[in-house]
Amino acid sequence: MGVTKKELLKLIDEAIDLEEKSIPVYRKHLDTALFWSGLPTGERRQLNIYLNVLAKESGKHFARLTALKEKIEKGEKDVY
Amino acid sequence: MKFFHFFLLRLRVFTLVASVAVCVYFVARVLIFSYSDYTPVEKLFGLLLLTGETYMLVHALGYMVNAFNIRGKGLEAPRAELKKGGEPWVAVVVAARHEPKEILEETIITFRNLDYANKNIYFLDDSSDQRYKDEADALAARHGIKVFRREERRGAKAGIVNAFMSGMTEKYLAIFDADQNPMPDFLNDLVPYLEANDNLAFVQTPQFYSNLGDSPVAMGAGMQQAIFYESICEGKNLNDAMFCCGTNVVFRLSALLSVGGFDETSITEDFATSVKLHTKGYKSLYHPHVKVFGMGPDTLPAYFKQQARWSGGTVSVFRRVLWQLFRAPRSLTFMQWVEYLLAGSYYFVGWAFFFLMICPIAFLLFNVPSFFLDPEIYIATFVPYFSLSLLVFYATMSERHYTAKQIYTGLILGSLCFPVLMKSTLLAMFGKKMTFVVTTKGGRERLDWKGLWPYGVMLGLNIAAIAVGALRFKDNPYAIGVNMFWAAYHIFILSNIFRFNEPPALPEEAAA
Repeated sequence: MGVTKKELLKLIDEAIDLEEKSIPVYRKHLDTALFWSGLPTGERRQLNIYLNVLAKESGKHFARLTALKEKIEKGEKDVY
Repeated sequence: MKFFHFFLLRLRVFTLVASVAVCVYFVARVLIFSYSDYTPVEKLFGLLLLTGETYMLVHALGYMVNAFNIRGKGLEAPRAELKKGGEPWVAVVVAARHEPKEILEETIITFRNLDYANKNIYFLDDSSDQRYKDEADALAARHGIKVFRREERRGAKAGIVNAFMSGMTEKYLAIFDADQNPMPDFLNDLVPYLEANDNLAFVQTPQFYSNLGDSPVAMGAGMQQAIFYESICEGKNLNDAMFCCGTNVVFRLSALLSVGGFDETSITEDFATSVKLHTKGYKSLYHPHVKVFGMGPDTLPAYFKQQARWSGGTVSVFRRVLWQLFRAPRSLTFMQWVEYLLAGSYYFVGWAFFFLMICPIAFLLFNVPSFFLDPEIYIATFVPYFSLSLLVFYATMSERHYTAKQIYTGLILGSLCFPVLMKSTLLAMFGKKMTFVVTTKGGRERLDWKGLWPYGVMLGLNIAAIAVGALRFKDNPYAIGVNMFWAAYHIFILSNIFRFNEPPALPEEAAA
């Protein structure tokens, strides 16, 4: 069972939108989770750095999805 | 933490000793109050003080029992293995009326991200304003979720959830407030408990606030939640008396339907419905892990409004619990009664604090004694009870990584709620509801002088009491000194109202 180009682009758009909106929501709550963790300040700072890296990685995911969308839009294939 | 380490290693022993100290102090107070020869006015103030202290002692004892019972016990509830793709269906709902669309959208996003195959997401929109209805429809269309509205409006949140439930096909119902964001594993973690035990009516998870840094009120309110959701809820869980807190919970639909759905006569429908479920023989479970983050009140008016609603609702259910205890004492187990009576009476703390505050004033200003213990008996009974209770409380909280300053912020904010709690509980006892008018200044909520007058009056009385006490100090140094100490302590608590009443910084101010 295939999926049409239009449907696929819609799915990718939804994924991009959800990814873009989700990261700030979880990021905000993870800051608080670190606060409640009771870990020493140094460890919390280190974990915060890792979390920023993960947030940036998710940004890359967003960029890849956008690139994929452009590629599909320019392509001539209509069913995937 | 190091300071408490010694006590934590022997916590069960210390809770036992502290419980004995509580009982000894209570017996000493009651005996001496009963046999003291004082005037009727002095007896009246003595009774008020004894009532306030009894409240504190009973709740301290309840905490000790919980701290003792949960020590060394893990979560032992059985879990069923969910078959991938064959998970039972869950309706994930948010019920809202006139809530900002930005907050709702964040919640809906976290619903969509729930890593659980068989879920349907519903927005139970109870708005009457067309603008909010349009926003709800737009949000639902954007996120591909369903909007539910009812024909006839009755019973607030309980009413719309009941109306929704009547047409539900899913086995379970996960309920969230508009500003509560579940983490992706929420359902995968909770549904296995319900699948493993057909007699389990609901699983409740904690409510932790994410906006702690927004204002002192947000921090204080967050800390109060933390205190409640640690030892207290874990203790209730062991006694099978954990009640639903209205959000961050998954219900078995058949259990809810068997008690006629949510209780629409109470504004704390969650608490009232839990009593019905336990009475019917259903079990409840508290899952002591943070699976949901949300937003707490960040201004005093918002916090007071929340507390007025919770306290009024809880006390109205408390009345019914007392009647049920009288009418059908075997409908709940002994420990379930204890837990429900403790929870139902919690909001009388406003009265207890007020009684404890006026007695030193009466003594210093008008020479009306209310505390009839001799210095020797006071030192031998009050000091052990007070210091051991505080020690157990701070040690158990410090074990969970809370600092003394954080705990104290929560306790002070709770104490400052006394005028609101006194009014709301009094009205609730007579079957009336409290209306709370929020006043705003410059777009940011804060209490104006009309809201601050009880604090001004009590501060003035305490300051006057200390001044008069200083002048009379030589007459009776011990009694006057102790009362001056308590008056000074109450001034310290009351003066915090100005710090808490500062509105939260606007984003541009915070950035600067």
